[in-house]
Amino acid sequence: MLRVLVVLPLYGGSLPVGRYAAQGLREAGCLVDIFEAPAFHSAFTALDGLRLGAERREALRSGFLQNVSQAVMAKADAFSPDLVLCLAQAPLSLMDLKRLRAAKVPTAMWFVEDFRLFTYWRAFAPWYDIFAVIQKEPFFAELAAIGVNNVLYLPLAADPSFHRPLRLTAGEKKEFGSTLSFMGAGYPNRKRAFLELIGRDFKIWGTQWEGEPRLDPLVQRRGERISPEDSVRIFNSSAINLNLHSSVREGEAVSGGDFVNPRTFELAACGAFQLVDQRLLLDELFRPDELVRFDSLAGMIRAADYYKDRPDERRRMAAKARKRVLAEHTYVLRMEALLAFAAERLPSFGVRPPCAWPERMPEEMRLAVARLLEELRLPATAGFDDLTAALRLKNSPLTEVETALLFLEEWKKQYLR
Amino acid sequence: MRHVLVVQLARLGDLAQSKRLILSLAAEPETTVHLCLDVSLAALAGAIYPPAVIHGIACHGASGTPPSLDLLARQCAELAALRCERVYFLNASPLSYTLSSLFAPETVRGYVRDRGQDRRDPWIRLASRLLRRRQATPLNLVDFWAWLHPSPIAPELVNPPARSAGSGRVGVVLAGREARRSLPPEILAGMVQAVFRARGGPRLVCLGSREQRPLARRLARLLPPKTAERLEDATGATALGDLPEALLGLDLLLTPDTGLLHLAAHLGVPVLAFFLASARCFETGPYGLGHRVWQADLPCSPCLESAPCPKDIACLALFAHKGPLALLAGAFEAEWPRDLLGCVSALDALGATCAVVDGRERRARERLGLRLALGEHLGLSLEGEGSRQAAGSLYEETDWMLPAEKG
Repeated sequence: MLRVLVVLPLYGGSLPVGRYAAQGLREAGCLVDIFEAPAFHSAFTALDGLRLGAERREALRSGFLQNVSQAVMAKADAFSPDLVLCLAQAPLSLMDLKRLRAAKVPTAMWFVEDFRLFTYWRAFAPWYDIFAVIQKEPFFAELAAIGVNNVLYLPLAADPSFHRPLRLTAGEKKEFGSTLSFMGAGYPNRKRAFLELIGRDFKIWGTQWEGEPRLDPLVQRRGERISPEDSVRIFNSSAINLNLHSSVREGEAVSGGDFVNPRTFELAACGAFQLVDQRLLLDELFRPDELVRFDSLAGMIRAADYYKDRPDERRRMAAKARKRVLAEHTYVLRMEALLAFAAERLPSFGVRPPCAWPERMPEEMRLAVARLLEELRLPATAGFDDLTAALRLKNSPLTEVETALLFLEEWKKQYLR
Repeated sequence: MRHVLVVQLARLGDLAQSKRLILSLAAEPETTVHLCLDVSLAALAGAIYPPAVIHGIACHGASGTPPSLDLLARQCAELAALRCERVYFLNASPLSYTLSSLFAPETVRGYVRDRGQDRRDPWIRLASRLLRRRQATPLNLVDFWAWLHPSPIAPELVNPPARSAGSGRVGVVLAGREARRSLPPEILAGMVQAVFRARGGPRLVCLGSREQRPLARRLARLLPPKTAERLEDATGATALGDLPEALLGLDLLLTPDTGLLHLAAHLGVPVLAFFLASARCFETGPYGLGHRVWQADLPCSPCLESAPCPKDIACLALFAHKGPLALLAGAFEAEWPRDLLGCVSALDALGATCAVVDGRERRARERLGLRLALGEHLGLSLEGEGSRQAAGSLYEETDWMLPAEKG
């Protein structure tokens, strides 16, 4: 089994993507350990409460992140991964990336950000063995220009075990439902666009909607952060989910950018109907009969008005979109693509010295081991070291058999290697 | 009846040096002490600790054959079924940490793996720091483990005072596991000859493993014929379990830092030990009264055994110096070399130490300062003048800044 260490960011939009990716890797048959960087976030933000000069603040933040990066390294050392998968903003320093390369531990970055906005990729991309991105040209050419060749286009996806149709209670439908809804952050283009919808049955969910008082009556829960669970409830209970990609430029409500956001896949996986702005890379992911596109503000309003009273059409399209996601756009499939790419591009990827099971095991022990594999959701073909690695991730005291397995592994390490 | 378990997975010397802790636990009312250790030491452990219930487990790799998973699982089940109130893990090895995950972490003292995270008892953390400054280490390993117990038995109750058996037999241990800690026959011969003269020609018994036979032969060739005639080669002749009997009849044991040294101390057999290279008598010297140690105390002592010696093992020459050999042979006065310490074993409220009677210890003030600080930490009143600065260095920022972890 492949072992993958997933390094989450401290916070931000790529954090849920990292968790879905980890789950996808598990479902793809990998043994996964997660570096929970968000656990360090509160200490990190506490530095901001010190009210220091900018330089000193930066030095403290940098020192803190170096420490977190060392914790990632310690985790990698203990877990011996075949791949360290980082999500955008993962706290792994350049120095430690170089150390991992020197130690021949393959690294991959899933850069689920807009390369035009988050330009720091230039410093970091060359130090990842694989750089997976959600955009194509001219990003590919830009990466090639700085010597980054193992580049994989890996669009976002959905996790069907989480993003799924729900049976909601009447109370939930009342709380989360509306004819029109939008779930996401208040970027300038969205604020501008949604002014046109004032007066309709429209609910806005999410953060950063301050600064436009005319939208205040539409913003739910006073602009609090909405949990992923509630997001799925919103998707499921809204007749029309607006999906307007973000843009920092206020002048263009519909930006016509390239990458497709995670909400597109998540809404589709929920079997929820959406209106999405046209993106350059959308057509290769969904057909027009699966998702309704608009390419202007007027087009969005027209489509909203058209589909408002056509529930059957909405249902038909949503069902098709869901089918497409399940077939082609899940995190499991994305992770399988990533692993296949790694196997193709990285020499000796996933190759480990064989670690045999003990030769003679009485039937009772064989059964106990089989039960353990099942309990840990490992395949029957898992190796001895797969099982012991999975046992090390257990978060409870060990049983006699589990302790004996780990003891035997340590014995072999100590005396036979 | 309460049950407590001590898990000591290391070698013979460590087994013998766990004694103060084991006896302290056995002294608790209504308590059965269980001892888990490598299966090869089980018989000997039974002889050293008759009241303890011994549990052997295959943790040493001499055979090169991995233990059977089935057997390990049964042994683990046996240990878990004891439902011990407390479990003492005394080794920092991966095997020991792994075995500790069998028990509820709150019952474990010493070294424990708690939900995948290895942790050390606060006392172990504190005392282990002393190992990083070994020139001034003030704590005997026996006491290092014993103070995991809140009130260990008095040090004088651990081993009997050393007393010559009056048999006219002197044991000679040829080498320990660490080659550099032992004297080559060329130097050992001088010490043996000095003891032979001082004691009026006793019978000399070479002790050690079968692999050490060539050393015994070399030693015999280096001794004067009359001495060599009295030399008996018993290397490889004694099973582990029979070692106590082999040692009991001796008037004296001449030895480097070995398991036999600690077994002799356990039995009250007088020891004359030579500590050199990486060995430090203040750390692993004989426990109890009546023993002597010669300790090399060069600026590079104690060295790191794993690194090659850049000085051609300069400490060896100290043990061939005429002065100490003359004293050993019975002279009343002789020149004592710089860099060699003549020590006698001693006890205080903290435990065992070595009192320097010949030579001048380089880091005496620092060592005593640390010992006083340890005593203060444990609520003991120790006497002496030590460096107060050294005492401060016992503590680290984490002690000062973080809430104490539960031990």
